[in-house]
Amino acid sequence: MTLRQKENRSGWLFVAPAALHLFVFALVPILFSIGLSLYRWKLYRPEKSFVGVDNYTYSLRDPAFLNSLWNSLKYALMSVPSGIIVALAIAVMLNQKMRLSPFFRTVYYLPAISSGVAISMIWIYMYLPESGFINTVLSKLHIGSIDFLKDANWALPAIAFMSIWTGLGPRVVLFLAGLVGVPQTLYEAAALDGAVGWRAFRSITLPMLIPTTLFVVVTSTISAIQVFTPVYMMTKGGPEDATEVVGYHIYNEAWTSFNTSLASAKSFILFVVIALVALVQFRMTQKQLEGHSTF
Amino acid sequence: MLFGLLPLIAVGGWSCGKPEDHRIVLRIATWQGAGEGNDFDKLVEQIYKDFERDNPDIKIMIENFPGSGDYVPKLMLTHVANTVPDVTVLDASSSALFIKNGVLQDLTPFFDKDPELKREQFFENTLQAGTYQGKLYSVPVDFTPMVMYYNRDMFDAAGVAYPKNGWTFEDFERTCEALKAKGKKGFVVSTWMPGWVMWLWNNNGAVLDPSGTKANGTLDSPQNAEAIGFLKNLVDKGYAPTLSQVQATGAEPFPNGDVAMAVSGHWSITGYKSAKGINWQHLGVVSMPTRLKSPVTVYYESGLGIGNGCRQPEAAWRFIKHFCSYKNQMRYNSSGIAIDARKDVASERAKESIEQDFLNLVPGARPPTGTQVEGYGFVEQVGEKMMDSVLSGRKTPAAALKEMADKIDREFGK
Repeated sequence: MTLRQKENRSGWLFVAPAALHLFVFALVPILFSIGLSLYRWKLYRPEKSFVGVDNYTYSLRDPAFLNSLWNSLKYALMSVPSGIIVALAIAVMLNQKMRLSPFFRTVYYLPAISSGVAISMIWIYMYLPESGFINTVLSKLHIGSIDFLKDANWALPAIAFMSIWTGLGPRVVLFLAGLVGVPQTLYEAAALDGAVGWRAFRSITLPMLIPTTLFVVVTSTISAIQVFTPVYMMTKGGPEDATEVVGYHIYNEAWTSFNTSLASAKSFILFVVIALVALVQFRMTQKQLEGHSTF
Repeated sequence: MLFGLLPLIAVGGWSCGKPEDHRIVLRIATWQGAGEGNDFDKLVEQIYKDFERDNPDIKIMIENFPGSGDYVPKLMLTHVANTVPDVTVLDASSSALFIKNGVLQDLTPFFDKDPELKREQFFENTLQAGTYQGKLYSVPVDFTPMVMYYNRDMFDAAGVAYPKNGWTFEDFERTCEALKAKGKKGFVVSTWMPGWVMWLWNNNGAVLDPSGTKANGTLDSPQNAEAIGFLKNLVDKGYAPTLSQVQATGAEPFPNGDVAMAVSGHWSITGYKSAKGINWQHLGVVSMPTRLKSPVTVYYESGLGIGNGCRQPEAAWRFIKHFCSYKNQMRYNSSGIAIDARKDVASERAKESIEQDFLNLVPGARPPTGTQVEGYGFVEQVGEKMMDSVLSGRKTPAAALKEMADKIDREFGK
């Protein structure tokens, strides 16, 4: 056996555990799920019939599924831009050379390592009408009590608002990494031309952070469209299906109604939607990157 | 991911009969989760230990399914993976799903030939919950009819007469009115469907048609709209707190002493005993208000079944017999969580007056629809949203019921 063959064999052995894991826990389930989506089949029953794309066409006409998709997109629109702006603002502040910066970096990351279930439980109490923390603050401002989680107009924005805080940690870390990568010389050169403060931020920091922002926007949008835990814990899709997001809808389709083949079809439609949204975001940001390439 | 795990579950799980230390391993599924180590958990554990002591050839392996709400899908997944536990706790609310899909074995032959455990020892309606096409699939353990609790202290303070079995919707409303006149809220309306479905029944309504496959034409009936409207009126007239008012306290209104009446099952007594807002010994129990000749209610029940893959069903039956014996049910039921399905245990415990009040309501208790209709969990899910939309004033009862009926029919048509 030649050295190259030996190296090849070692290489394959090294990647084998990860490849096997991917095969068993990713590829096989995906392939199984694709097959499942082409049948009318409740997993626990032996009888099944091939229906082709019927599950897909049914899903695209299912008002409950379309409503859940729309809710997820609304949730993403509510939570992603605001979440990114807040994260960027905090990252810029934490990037200053302050004594307590490391402490605050830890504090802002805490929600990311906390249990989503526990966080949701705490926010249920925060949102309680009248006696909840947020309504107590609102009453001090002479604003009437809002039943955030029981009001169809408020429930989804309330969960989106919570997500700004819960999603802060990873976004701040990414922006901090991006900020560290901005060459100090650019700021020094700009300062000589009189561009400091907001002007420097707008003309140097923001353009230099476009790749980071692109990554944060895409990953945040994907996770926003897939939101599940806070809905499951706080509203169960209510009131009046106002928070029935697509992840929760598919979960119920599969494990409450046991329509597993329909749930699989809906999952692949969701996959296409997410891929399209990500593609649009990539294209838009690519144009921005090209626009700034002459900076 | 779950689909990927299924083969591993199938390979990793082992069925009744696999020897370990030369003993039969009996897998027993419960929905109690990890357990809290409280007195009840210790009591149940002792019953298991006693079984192992009396049956040295059997080793018990408890499989606690975490999350009672997820018990149904998790147990169904074991069926898909062909690893159904040997003995499973069965909730009547979802028993049709398991029974109709062959998850459980027919226990009729065991009952027929057993010299000790007899059908006659159990309340007839509790046996119905586990019966399908004349075959019995679960031995009832305990149950509770949904009843109207009332707080005697609040009634006394308001000078209002206690309600009596067989009271009508109108009697109930007059009682609420009298309590309100004394500055007290009469009742709390729950959005939880198992807590309100019997209002429909008592107004001569139903959720599904007799075949159990269609909601339109039944659920959206005028009498159902009237019953839901009746509950909504209680809130509008100030006899019951609004959903926001209930939410705002962050506590249950009845045990908190905020309302004089509430609908619940026997299980609530364990919480009421430790509630600071009420004296549980001053509570009364009465039938649901009705517009029928005699009141009806729903009962919820739990039982024990034997899994379809169990290779040592005789051993599983020995365990069920042990668990459902008079001696062990007397111990098990000392927690007061429910009414024992054994008539002898239930009547022994009925020496406490509230227990007898519960027993008086058993004849009018019907099994939950989930004992007959597969997928009834979906109905209860949309039922909760329907009631929520009515109580918060976003929809009229008729419109909300129609929308709910459409959703159910669409779901059942999939």
